Formats: sequence, C-alpha cells, structure tokens
Amino acid sequence: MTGTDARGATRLDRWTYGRMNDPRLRHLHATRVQRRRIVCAHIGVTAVATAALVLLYGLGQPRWAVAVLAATVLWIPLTGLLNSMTRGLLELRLRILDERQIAEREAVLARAHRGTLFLLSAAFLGVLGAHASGVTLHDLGAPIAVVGVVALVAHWLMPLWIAGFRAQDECDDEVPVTG
Amino acid sequence: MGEQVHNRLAMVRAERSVSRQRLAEAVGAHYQTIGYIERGQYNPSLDMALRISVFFELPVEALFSLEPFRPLTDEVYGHGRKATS
Repeated sequence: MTGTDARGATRLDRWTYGRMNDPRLRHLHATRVQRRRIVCAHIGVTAVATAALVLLYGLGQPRWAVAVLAATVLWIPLTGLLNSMTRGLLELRLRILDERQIAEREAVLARAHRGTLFLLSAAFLGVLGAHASGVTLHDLGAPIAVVGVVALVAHWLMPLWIAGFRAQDECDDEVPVTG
Repeated sequence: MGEQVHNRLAMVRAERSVSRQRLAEAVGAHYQTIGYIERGQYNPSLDMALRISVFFELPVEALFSLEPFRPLTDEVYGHGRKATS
C-alpha cells in the first residue's frame, strides 16, 4: 500500500502527505495557465532573491537585505503552491508515493539533471572562452562565484520547476452515475 | 514504456459507480494515478493491474489488453450485425 496507509509511514509522513494533497488549494492551480504562472513567478522570485543575496554579499549594502527578505516572503507561499500542484512529488518520502508517482519523480529528476548539466557545461565553456580571450583567472573569480551560486540554486530548484510544468489538470472525481 | 496498454477501467468504474478516490484507496494508489491509467498516460505494473482486477472481481484480461478493446456492443451482439433504428 502507498499513501498514508503505506507500511512504515510515520506521523510526519501522514501530516506532510495531508498538506501536499490539501484539496483547499486545488482551485489555485487547477488550470495549466495558473500552473505556468506560478512556476514562472517562482523562477522570477528565486532570481530576485539570488541576485539580492549576491549583491548583499558583494556590496555589503543593507538595502539588499530588504530585497532578500521581500523575495523570501513571496518565495515561501509560492513554493507551497508548487508542492501542492505536484502533490508533494519531490517532498514526500518514497515509501508513501505510488508506482506512478515514483516513475514521474524519476522522469523529473532525469530532466532536471540534463538541465543542470547543460547549464554547467555552458558556464564552463563561458569561462574557458573568457580565459582564452585573455581574461585572467583572477579577474574571473567573481563571475565564477556568481555562476556557482546560480548553478547551485538551479540544481536545487529545477526539479520542482519541471515537476510544476509537467503537472496535469485534476480529474473530475465525481462518482459516475449510470442510467 | 514502449507499448500502450489499453484498458476498460473508466467504463467498468462507471458501471459499478466507483469513484477514482475509492478505487485508488482500495488498490493503494494515489487517486490521480487512476485517471492517468484511464487516459492511457500510465501503464500500471502487473501488481497494480492484478489488484484492480481483484477489486472488480474480474479477470485481468477483461480490464487490460495489449490490443484495443472491441466495442462492447460488438462483443455482446457479434460482428457485422446491422444497427437497428
């Protein structure tokens, strides 16, 4: 059995499963357009938060902390919506997912891996190209650090974005009535 | 997954007035998974196909097939009979 009846499911598993499958949030991501907007908003807010964090660290100006805080305040509920629209595909433990969800999770992780590999390869080629054109490694230090942060964030969140894009419309689950 | 597995799940579920949620709980699947199977977007494992057939008390080949199912009226009334108006 899977779901909350899964063998070995803990109270935390059941609680998390309940939150990720909360029907009260369904209307917020019922259509493909809504889901795309949420994913795009999450990508945008993540980009703002990452950029603000890098600027805060690099420039040391406290105003960037406000930007980080503001982006985080938006980021948390958006992440909750993403987890809700994917029914906790990436957050729930394997033992309470069913076979279709496990297959979907593997497909999402494989695509995210390819995406991250592409991003890192592009970054590496960019560094090589810059170095070949005469930029010293010392001067490339800061850009490499920024690309590293971006790659880390992309590696962390790309599976969630891909799962969000792949989520499908909910089935109409009324009990069928036969004549 | 290479081959499409055809199924009559939606029809049998409608006949028996069983919701996706109830079937999913009975066979230990997420309720969305039943919709995926019905739409042919996911081929269930043998284990799940057997659990579904046990739930409906039908042989597994009555629910799942590698070949498209013939229309039920063809199976009941035979091939080539003219439809009466």
